[in-house]
Amino acid sequence: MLSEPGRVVTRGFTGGIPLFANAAADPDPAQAVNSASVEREDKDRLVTANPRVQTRRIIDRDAGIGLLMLILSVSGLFIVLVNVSHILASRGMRVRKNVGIMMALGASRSPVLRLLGAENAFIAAAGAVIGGLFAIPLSRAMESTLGLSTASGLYVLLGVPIAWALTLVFSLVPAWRGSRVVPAEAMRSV
Amino acid sequence: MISLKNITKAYTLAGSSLTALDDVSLTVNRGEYVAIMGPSGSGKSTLLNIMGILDSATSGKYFLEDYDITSLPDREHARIRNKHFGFLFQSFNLFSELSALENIMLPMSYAGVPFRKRRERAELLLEEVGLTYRAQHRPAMMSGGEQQRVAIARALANDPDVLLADEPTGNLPSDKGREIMDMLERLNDKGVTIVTVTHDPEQGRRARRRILIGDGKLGADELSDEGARHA
Repeated sequence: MLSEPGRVVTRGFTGGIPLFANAAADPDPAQAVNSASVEREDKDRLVTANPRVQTRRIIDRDAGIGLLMLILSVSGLFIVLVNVSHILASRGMRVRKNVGIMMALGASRSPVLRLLGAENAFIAAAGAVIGGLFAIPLSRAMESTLGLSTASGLYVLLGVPIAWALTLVFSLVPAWRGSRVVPAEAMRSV
Repeated sequence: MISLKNITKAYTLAGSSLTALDDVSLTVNRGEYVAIMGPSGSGKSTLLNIMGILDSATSGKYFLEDYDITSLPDREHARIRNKHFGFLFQSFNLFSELSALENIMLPMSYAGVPFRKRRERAELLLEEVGLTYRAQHRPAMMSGGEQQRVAIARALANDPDVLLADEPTGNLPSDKGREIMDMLERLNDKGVTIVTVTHDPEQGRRARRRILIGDGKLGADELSDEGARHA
């Protein structure tokens, strides 16, 4: 990483963003005299660079951004899950009359719960897959703009089932409530 | 067959209690054709819903043959509804996204009847109500009378002991209403117990037993001339 005394090259690990001003550009022959004087000055100051320290700084920086992204993502995911839960509860209200009719025809709560759960599972799976597809270009855009290290596709692959499972967890209450209706009252619903 | 003892149903609305049924006791025997009549808000639909286990009583006891309905769990209620009751509603309550045939097959699927048998029985029932040509049609493509005939076929899918009808002719023109009443009479002649809630005096006359209800209390309970002949 240290190509010559006082000059740190950090390309690659940070995605090309220079960490120090003197590493921003390669020496220009036209400015060689000035550069030489600056380097001499640097040499006089005896700038020493410890590769471990530099690496640690870079890792800390990436970890900080990563933590921020994690907090934002988890907060966003939570808000989305609460919204999904409300939407599914609202859907449960819309199909309330049909649930009442099903129960009048002899359906017990378990097939109603299974039906609502299966619908929710399908919606959750569709959302997770679509979200996963959006995550790929979005992570690339973040990588190039923030200079973060490349996110592995494995994370996206892992994210899809995790998002699906979390959505399913948040859909349990609406499905359970949808199946706990009194048939006579449910059939009066519009 | 159906025995209600001291049934009370009270609702709490905006903090105040409303008694829909007040200490109602009633027995319906197998094979009867009973019409429950009364003004709007008298509690007749509530009574029918409790008979069909679509709603529960606040207090009192309900026996259906050997079952003490009030002490059974929800799952058993669903099984009894599926096996012993068929329902007819004023607004038909067919599933709009299913064909006539699929609507009729639905109660049999809850009873665990295999697909082929469900289909065969549904086709037979459609033939009995004269709507074979409507098998693949959805409710929106049918007239009100046809929809109610499909609903009758659906109600008979699991060969129920009791048919509970809530204003079955209420949304039909008089000629179509008479067709439905004729069908109910024929079913009763075959041994199906029928309990209907109605405003329609003609349907009341056709029933073999008339029970009047007002303010949640049962009033006159009389046999019609037809009923007296059968008694």
